[in-house]
Amino acid sequence: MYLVAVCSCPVGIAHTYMAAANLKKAAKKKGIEIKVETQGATGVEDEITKEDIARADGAIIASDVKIKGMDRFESVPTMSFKVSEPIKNAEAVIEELMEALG
Amino acid sequence: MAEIQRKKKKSTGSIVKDAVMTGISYMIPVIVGGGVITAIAKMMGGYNIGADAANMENLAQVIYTIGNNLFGFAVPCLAAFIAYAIADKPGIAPGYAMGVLAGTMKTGFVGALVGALLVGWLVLQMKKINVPKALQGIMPIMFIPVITTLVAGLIMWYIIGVPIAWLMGIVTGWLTALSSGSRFLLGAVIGAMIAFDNGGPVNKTAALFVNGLNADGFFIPTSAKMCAGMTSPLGIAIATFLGGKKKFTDNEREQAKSLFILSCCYVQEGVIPFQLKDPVRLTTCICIGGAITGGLCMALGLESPAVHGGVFSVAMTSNPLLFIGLWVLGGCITGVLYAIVKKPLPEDYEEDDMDNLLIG
Repeated sequence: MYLVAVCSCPVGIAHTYMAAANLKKAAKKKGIEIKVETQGATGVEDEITKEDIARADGAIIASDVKIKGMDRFESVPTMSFKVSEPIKNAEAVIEELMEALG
Repeated sequence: MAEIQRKKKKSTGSIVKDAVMTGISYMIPVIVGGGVITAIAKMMGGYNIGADAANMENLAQVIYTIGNNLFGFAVPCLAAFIAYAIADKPGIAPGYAMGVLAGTMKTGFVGALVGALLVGWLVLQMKKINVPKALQGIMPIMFIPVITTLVAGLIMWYIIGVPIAWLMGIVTGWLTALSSGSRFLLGAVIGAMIAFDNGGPVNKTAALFVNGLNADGFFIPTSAKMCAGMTSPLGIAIATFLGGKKKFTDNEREQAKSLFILSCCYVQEGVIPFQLKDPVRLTTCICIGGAITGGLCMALGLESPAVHGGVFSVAMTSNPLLFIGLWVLGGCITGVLYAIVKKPLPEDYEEDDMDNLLIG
């Protein structure tokens, strides 16, 4: 199982990175490999590449704003969340995606 | 896109909200950059430098003009990126048009917001039209910007903008004529909202209102916003200091040290890890502290031309000592209250995951 995720929030200095940190932590706990791209105030970091997309089983978008490069995820089952959801409970976010993936 | 729908479908309301948040997200660096630079100029050349800055006779006036030019982009930038969030790249140019038009019509940030939503929707509809292949290439660079800007612009000017301009006139008139009692109330509401969710949607809504007024030339609510926002990290830091080992973990007390610095920089987000662990009690305390500070800022007529900057822009407010006093007062109120109501740690407490949460 390999997941990709994008996190973003309006100011881009705290929520973005807290959501990313929690998703990574929750995935590690579940034994899932995850790559999290952050679109904070400094711009895109840890960008999700074509290679990542090619081997991804699912994608999580955790954002309160429009993210850059949404069209990248055309070939991947994608689920959108508010940025606060993984901050509160990242495991539930991953579980909801896994459940939908079947 | 292979979007999986969640059980709750995305409503029109949340699409609008995401678009507005995107606009704010791109506007913030413009407001902060422009606001702080003009404030620096005010520090150098006196509080009323704006009046004759156009002469460009000295460095302060030049600096003021540089900052003020950037600040002039705040409302257009908000509109441009709201439209961008709805309609992608083709939305940007018509969005800018709506923002600038709002300035001309004196409809302020409300007019810009409505115009941007309207023009964004129009662009989206035009993108759906099937055109002959030969015309496809020039649709986004020729027809879309011309037609949508013209249509939305005329609608704003002749129809929608009229009641908004009237309403903004009333609001600004009302704000200038407020008695000190009602000013306190308004400031308290602003302060409580700013403190409420530390950079979340409620905070951003209040900030949008205040920054919009700031862009329209009202600087008093800005001091209520910034000062109240600075009280919550300071308050929690004070609370961990007062509460000590019995009420806070080692990690929390370590984190609280950075809250002092974050408070000085007017960055509230550091409070969130604490807030998530104890939402009701903590939110109540920071709202009380924020409301008192915000209310007093407005009742006493404290002006802050800079919308951000924390202690770095204190010198630019109309009364720096008062600003610091109200900041510390609100922080102490929040801190003492929270130190009292916070439950002591259980005897067998172990550090949990949340304690290691990153602060961005």
